[in-house]
Amino acid sequence: MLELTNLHASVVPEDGPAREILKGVSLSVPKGEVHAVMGPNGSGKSTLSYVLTGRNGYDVTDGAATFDGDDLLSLEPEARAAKGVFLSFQYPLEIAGVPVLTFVRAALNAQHKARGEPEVSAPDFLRKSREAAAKLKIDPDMLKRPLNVGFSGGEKKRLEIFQMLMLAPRFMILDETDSGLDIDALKVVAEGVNALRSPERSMLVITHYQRLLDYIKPDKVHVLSAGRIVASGGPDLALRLEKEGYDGVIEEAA
Amino acid sequence: MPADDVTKQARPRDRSPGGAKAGIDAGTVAAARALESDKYAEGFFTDIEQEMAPKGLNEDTVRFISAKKEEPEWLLQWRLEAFERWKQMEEPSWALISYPPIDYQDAYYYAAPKNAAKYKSIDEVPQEILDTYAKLGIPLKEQEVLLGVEGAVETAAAARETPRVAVDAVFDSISVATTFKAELAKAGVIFMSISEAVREHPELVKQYLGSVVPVTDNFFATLNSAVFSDGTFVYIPKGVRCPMELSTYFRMNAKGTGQFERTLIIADEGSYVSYLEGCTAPMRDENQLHAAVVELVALGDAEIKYSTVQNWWPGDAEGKGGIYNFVTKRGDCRGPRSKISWTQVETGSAITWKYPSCILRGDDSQGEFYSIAVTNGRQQADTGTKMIHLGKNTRSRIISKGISAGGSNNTYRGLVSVHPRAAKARNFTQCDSLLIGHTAGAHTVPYVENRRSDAQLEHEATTTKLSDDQLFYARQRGLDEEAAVALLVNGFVRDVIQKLPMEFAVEAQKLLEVSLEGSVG
Amino acid sequence: MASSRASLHPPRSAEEQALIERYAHLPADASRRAAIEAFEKTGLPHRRVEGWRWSDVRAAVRGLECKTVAEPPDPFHSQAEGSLYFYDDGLPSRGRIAAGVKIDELAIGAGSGDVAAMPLAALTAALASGPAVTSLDISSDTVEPIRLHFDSRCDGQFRRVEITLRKGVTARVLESHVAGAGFSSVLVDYRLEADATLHRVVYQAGADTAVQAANARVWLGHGARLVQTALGFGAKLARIETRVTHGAGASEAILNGAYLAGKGRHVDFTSHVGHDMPGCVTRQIVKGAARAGGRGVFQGKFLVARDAQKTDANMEHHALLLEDGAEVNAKPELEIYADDVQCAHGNTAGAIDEDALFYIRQRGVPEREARAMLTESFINEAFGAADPAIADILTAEARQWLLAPQ
Repeated sequence: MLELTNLHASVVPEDGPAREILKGVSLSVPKGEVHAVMGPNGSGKSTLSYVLTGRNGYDVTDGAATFDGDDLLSLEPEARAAKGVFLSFQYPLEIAGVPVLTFVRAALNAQHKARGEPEVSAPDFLRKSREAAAKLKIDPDMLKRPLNVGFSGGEKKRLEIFQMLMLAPRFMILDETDSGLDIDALKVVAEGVNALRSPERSMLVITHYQRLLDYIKPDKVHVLSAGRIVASGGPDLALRLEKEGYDGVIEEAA
Repeated sequence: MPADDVTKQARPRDRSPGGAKAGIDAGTVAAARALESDKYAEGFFTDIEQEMAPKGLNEDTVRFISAKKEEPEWLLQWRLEAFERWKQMEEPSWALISYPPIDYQDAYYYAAPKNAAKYKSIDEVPQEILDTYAKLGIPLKEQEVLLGVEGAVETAAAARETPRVAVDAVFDSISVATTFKAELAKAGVIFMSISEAVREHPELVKQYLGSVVPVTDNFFATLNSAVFSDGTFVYIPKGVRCPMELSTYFRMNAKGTGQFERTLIIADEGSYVSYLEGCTAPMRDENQLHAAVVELVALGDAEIKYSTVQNWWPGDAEGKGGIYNFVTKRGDCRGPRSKISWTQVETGSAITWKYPSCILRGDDSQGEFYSIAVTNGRQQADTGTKMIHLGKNTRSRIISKGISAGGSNNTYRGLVSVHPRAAKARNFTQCDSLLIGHTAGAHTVPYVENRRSDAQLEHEATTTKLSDDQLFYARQRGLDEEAAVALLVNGFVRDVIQKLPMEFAVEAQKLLEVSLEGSVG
Repeated sequence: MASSRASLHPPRSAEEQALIERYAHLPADASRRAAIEAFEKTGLPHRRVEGWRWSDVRAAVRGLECKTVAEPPDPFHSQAEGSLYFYDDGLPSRGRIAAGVKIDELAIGAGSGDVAAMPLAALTAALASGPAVTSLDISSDTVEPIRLHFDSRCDGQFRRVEITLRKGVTARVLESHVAGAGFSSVLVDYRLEADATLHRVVYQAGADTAVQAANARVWLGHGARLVQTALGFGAKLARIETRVTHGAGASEAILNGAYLAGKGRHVDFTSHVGHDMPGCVTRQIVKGAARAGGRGVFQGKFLVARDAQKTDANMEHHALLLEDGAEVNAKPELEIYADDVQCAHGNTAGAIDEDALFYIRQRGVPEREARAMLTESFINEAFGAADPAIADILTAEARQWLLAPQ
């Protein structure tokens, strides 16, 4: 489903020279699988998620990324979203003046339109949103408030998953979704994510700690270090990382 | 000079950080506070024989000044052209200041200690003038250096112990002494009075004079162009980091004169200089005009840091006398990645009208303006900056702290302008005003002009009074009211004080305390 | 920081001469005469006059063509039964007027006020036609808004209205200023007696062949409250100017607004709030957006007098430049003579937050819509104090502008 081949990318800060962060990432996530990308701070995890979703300020200097065989990197961010690529942000944005439901409805309709599907009717949308909110234990009143404004870190993460349930993407990138969550919230969020697991959907779970993977079981684990995948393996690789630390595993790989 | 001029002389008080012995300081301050007339320690007058231009302003005055300075013909023509323009100009009226009309014919445009132009070394400078600078609250090291030309300080041992400051001392219309010239010359740095520079480096003066503040820029700058007397010239060659702080100490002494100095600083590619400016004048009942022009040019990768501690005589508590300070200061960040930083502590003058500005012409250039303006008594200050963003990725930062006490008025006026070519320009402005007492005024007048969709401009301003709770807290801990005010004010201006060179920071803090004496209660 | 060189009073222009001639055809009275004499000295305000540096009316009125234009917008047409309609000339036409509102048409106006402070208001007082003044006296609460609709199609109009809200009365006034061509200026004087509340909405939209001024002076009695919301789309030049006086203490003013300047449009929001008395509150949020070839101006001033202790005043102006070629100029000003006050202002100008834009696009919303969504939510904050029904109308107008192809 997602194929990365020798992907090189640089971050281009506004007031400074470009720095290469991804130095040849190759990765293949087949349909229906959940892959975890783990790595120490500064290894390029967030850059990977932004490059895949098309954020400004990153230059792809070499390599390729395809989604269902189509080039992903030439598409606008919204076109990637319409293809079904969803990023759960590490730091979700606050958008004053736009209520959650208004926002999600606009996004859903835009995606349907881009795919040539009919609009979701208002009653259907509301019913679906109530169900999703209940599943994630979100107070329905929260959905009428401006997006993420004044929400706690945990509430913001839950709202990311709420949007994920509503938009039903085909490929999900979870960027440090566990950060800022206590254990109860983590369970709720993981249940929401697991509810979307299906043979038709894939997932890239980006995380620093193994903890999240207790709840969202990956099929494969990759270790990202200094912009390269240095080790790949089954779920036991994550457990090894937990036990031995990144240094040991990375050294062994090198 | 007639004897009655000297009667206004106040008792000088030494409040420089270590002007006498450091330990004496507190005692001296206490003693001085007991003296009614001694709020302004620099208010004394130096009795010295003067040579003046005839009173009034006409073409002959301009020719007289030029002749006195033995200037080349091109400079005389430049002055005359300015004078012609000035006659057609109107005095600006947009600032929040009011004063009776200035009679430009009722002043002397040139005053100099007799034979001053002939001082070959500081040994020839009359003792009265040396004493004047000794008495002024200029930083200790400066003072040592000035006197030290006669012997001690230029010895290597003393020089190693203290960060050295080279000084150009301007007394009324002329520069009387410039220190460390020889040593600076070894580094290729030119540091001399502008009159000397006209003679010794005419090509540099000709190239840059009026290139930042054009002759016709504004009423006061044009007046200055016609009658400027002396000032400082600095040139830092390519790649040179100026080995010491440079400074000019301006002193207005003679009665009925105006001071019109002209400063020109050029930092060639990749060079760096930090420059300090201090100003004082005697206490007089009359108002004296000070209309200076300062031009800075920073070429590619060069940096100029310009600091001012302005303590001209502010007039007495009823608003009698004081300096009218109408000054045009502008820096041109001409080359890429150049940087100009203005820091000012303005405590003096009856009227302050000055807007040290940056033209951010070079791509990636930066301008900064850090200001503390204190007004007390009947002082009026209308001051701020202009940041003109012309180049790409230009950045500017403005921090202004205004403190108004007594019956004074203090206005921040600033312009941030982003031109269509200035892609990704950035500005941050913070203007805070503090009111002490209920008869003062604090005003903020920012102008923001933006013509780039990718610019980010932010401006914040607040106006508050000193917090009663904080004052009480400090007093409950044993500080008297004035000390408590000084403490809180120091906290309020901290961001800017930190931008001053160390020697000046101490001086500036003391100056603030003295300026705000009697502002509470 | 204007240049000191140029003379403040340039030679009289043909357009200024025409205005003076217009006066000659009007009934003479002392207050008109004083105003026109002042005008004869100063002429129309221009860029060398502080307060007009970005809005040069003298230059803008030159060469205004009278073109056949589409029917000007009237967003409040469904709103009010009680309405006064003002067209280029003649007497105002009236809809049904609510009980408790007394209307008089006066042949002679009161004084024109401080000419230097508000030159176009003074000019309007001099040239006001139909009646010299249309006076509304509101003595009981009105549920239905009162509409003042000023519609200039060609020649422009000068109109003067006075509205008094009696003690404790709450009233809603919707002012719409629309113009296809010509130079129009309207002056509305509001006087709020103790504890009265005025909800004032100002809507302005003009063609690029029109110059418009919507001047208002609002005097607030003790405990009175002004809730103002304005939306301006500009014209060749449009100035929406409000001068508020906290005249008796304990009053409150909300002075919100938004401007949207498209190609060839210039819209100027200017306000002056005089805190003359203690214990008054002012809150101001002005939002603006400009497109290529559009220019927005915001000038706000709080003047706090020595006796106005315990003043609490906050001014916010935030602008988005949607495209290169847009221009926004701002002058948020504080002039403060009292020490026990809380006064602050904030001003920003720049682009849409790129991070927020990416976030929305990541959810699948195309860039243009994402920008419109962000701009709309940005602008909407300025409508937060208006009645919800009115806020909805203003939001819809703003949205239409944002989504309109350029």
